[in-house]
Amino acid sequence: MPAILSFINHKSIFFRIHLENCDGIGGCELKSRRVLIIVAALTAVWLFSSLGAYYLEVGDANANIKTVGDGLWWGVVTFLTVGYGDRFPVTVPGRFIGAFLMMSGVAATGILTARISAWFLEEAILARRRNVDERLKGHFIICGWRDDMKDLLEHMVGKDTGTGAEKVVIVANVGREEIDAIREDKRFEKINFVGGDFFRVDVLQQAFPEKASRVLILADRARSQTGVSPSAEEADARTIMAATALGKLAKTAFVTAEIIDPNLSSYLRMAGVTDIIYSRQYSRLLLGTAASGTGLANVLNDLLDPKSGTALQTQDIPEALHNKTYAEVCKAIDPSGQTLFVGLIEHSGNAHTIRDRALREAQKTSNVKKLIDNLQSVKQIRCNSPMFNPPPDYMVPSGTVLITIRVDRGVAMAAGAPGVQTQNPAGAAGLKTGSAA
Amino acid sequence: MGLKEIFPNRDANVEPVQDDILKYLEGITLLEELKADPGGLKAFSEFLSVKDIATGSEIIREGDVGGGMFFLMSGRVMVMKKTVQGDFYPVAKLSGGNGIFFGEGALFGHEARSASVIADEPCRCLVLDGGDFERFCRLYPQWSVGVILRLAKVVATRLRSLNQDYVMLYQALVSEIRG
Repeated sequence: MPAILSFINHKSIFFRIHLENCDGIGGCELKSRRVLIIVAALTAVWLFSSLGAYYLEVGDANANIKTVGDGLWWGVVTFLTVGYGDRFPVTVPGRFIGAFLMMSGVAATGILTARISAWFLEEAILARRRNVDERLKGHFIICGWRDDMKDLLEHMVGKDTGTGAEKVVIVANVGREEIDAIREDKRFEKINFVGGDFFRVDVLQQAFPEKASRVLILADRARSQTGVSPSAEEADARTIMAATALGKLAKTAFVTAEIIDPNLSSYLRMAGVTDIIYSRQYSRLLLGTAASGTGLANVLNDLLDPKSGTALQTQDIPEALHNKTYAEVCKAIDPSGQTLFVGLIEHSGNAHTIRDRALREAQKTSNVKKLIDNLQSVKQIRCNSPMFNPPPDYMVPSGTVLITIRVDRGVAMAAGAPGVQTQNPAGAAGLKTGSAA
Repeated sequence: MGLKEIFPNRDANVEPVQDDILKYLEGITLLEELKADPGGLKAFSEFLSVKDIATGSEIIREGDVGGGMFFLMSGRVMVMKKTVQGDFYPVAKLSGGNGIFFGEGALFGHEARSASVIADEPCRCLVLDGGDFERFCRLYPQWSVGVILRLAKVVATRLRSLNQDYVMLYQALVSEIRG
């Protein structure tokens, strides 16, 4: 039966290609059309054989397929390899048809079984893929895991941060149940997840880093699925690996990385990461302030804790205010003088974008000496380095953001938060007049 | 092309304009040799055409080929160049009446223009076409030698500064590679 064999082969290739391609909606339309074709083909084989057997049998004296209904019944019983034997062909040509139908039946059963298991497989693959929506754009990738991931997300996801859960992709080597536990919370229901080691390029790519706008690489010391938790050096090495990969994969994203050993931060800078969080050093520095008894711990806590009503934040400067003085910019941004202006971050944003912009500006000269100087200064650009309380006549270049302290007076006072506003009004006022002058 | 052909119906105006042109040409050091001989400048002016340019229009576009050399009689122009990425940046602003000329490269061959020149104000230019210049040189070799020598000097100066730029770029590249 070469015809049938080639039919099977053809179909099975069909299935495989089909399995790989049925991702989008278009692919699924194709899927239902292919199912239709198969059903039609099987029906045709059944009808042709049953009616053929009836036609060949009906003239014979010993025939027990005597009506069209008998033929169809015999056809389906034979085709599905059930074979009750209540009806059977007795003529030679009828038996030939019977043999053909039996063999087609075996083949069709195989095809159907393959098809059904393919469907299940497909569903499983899709379900895994569906963790990250491929239409995602401008999203926030979190690389790594922490045991307090949910608390961390609470700071990062929500209306006041401007990042919805559907825009967050977690890339971490944790089991599904960990993510499901987070997704149980209504606010984080739509969080995306890629399972695997975040420092591996193939895993990172599943989070569509090229379209991401921000990336956070955590110093992941969470226990792996094998029960081993990495050492500080291992965690830092992974962070650096991920940062290096992201330097190529996520050229337009703003990458922030957490590192445990501050001595290793130069590697992060080499990888183009300009926003580095030294979590261990921070806590040490904070503990250090206890010796002086200044109460700074509360100040810092309030500035960083979004629940305190006081927030240290950055603010973009509209294009119209570029190349104006610092005093003019502050006045234009907040004429009422309510905002505390702390300073500026020059060359802020993604290192790649900053360099690109600076490089374009540097070339705008016909003087070669100047061109070389300009290009060399591009190399020296330090991205995202803050400048506190610049002189009022300081010219604010483009690509700069303001550092401000937003004070929600209602919240800060009602909560009686011991922070900048309530505990140390003189200091806050001093800061204010100093920067807005 | 003579001036009469440009202003065929305005004979009355031609003479004063031509006087202006002659007076203007006297101030151009490039044409020093022509001044010595009576009729030298007049003969040269026969090969020029007057072109009035509105503010904002492009007199020369970077990358274009040919089109002649321009003497800026009045008005102001802006010289612009393009970076590799295609961003424009200003190189210089030139005001008429100072013996300013540009686009002399077009006299010697069909090379692409190295910068754009855009009228910053309404401008009046005298245009010397490459072919016309050659005809002038062949007709009046006694005068043209001086003009060509001076042009050669201008080109040589530019070549020298280009050479310096080249050396500087070369050094920068080497020190960059060395780290």
